[in-house]
Amino acid sequence: MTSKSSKASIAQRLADECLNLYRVMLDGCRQIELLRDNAFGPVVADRSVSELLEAKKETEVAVDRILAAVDKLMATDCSDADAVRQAIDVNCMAIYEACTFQDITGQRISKVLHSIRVAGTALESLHGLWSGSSGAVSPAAGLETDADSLLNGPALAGEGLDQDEVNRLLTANVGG
Amino acid sequence: MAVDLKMPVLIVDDYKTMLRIVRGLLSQIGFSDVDEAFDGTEALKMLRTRRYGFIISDWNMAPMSGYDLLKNVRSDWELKTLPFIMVTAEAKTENVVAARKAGVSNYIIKPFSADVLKAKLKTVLGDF
Repeated sequence: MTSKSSKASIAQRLADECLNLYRVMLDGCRQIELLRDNAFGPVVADRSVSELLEAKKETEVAVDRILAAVDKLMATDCSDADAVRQAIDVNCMAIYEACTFQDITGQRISKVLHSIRVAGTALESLHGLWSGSSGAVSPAAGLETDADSLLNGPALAGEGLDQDEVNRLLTANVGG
Repeated sequence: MAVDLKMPVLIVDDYKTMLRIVRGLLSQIGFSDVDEAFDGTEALKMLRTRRYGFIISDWNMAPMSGYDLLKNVRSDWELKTLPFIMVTAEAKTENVVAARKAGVSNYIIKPFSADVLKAKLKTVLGDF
């Protein structure tokens, strides 16, 4: 027959186990909240989709501009040296300008990759938490924001300033 | 004073393609002595070893951003008057305001055209 102290000890162990279970579940809920807010939630997911759609559009526009420049070069009257020189200058400039898409789309894709990494880190942490394995990733890992909060990357259509607005801001009185 | 198109120019970007594009556009405009750096730290070392006519820099770079490079340049007695043009995808008001307060000479949003680059250079350097 189990002694009083044994029963008390079993009860205490049960209580401790329940408390631990409660803590694990609470941590799990926090992880899911972080995932929702930073990776799979509607705001972040919509943003990631928008970034990729914009990158796809920018790639198409750039290729169109490059091919248009190539078409013009090929249509140049080669018997006219001045026309050839002019065509090369104008169309090579257009090709250089069009190629700036790579920088912008690269930055957009990097933003989406960051979201995916954050999601992966949070999922790893959840898995570690509920599988009871040691060395689970810190819940906040991957969510650290850049120390330079001025880094936002390329804006989506309708966001951010255009060059004319930037020019006005450069000459406006912005205070001390 | 006429602008010397032979002046050495420093361009800074962590994207090699962007460096190639800016170099190509500068060459079309008439600037052919162009050096490259991949981030602010490298750029700062180069600025302290050669006298450049102006610098064109991206913002988003590591370990030193273009914004930090700008602040370093403006706080350096030897470099503080160097014309510094930021060319960046950072297009929010706070970016432009911060750059202006840090002493940027001009600010170009990516993607940009050769005409915009030339116009900005004329604004900063004078007509050529």
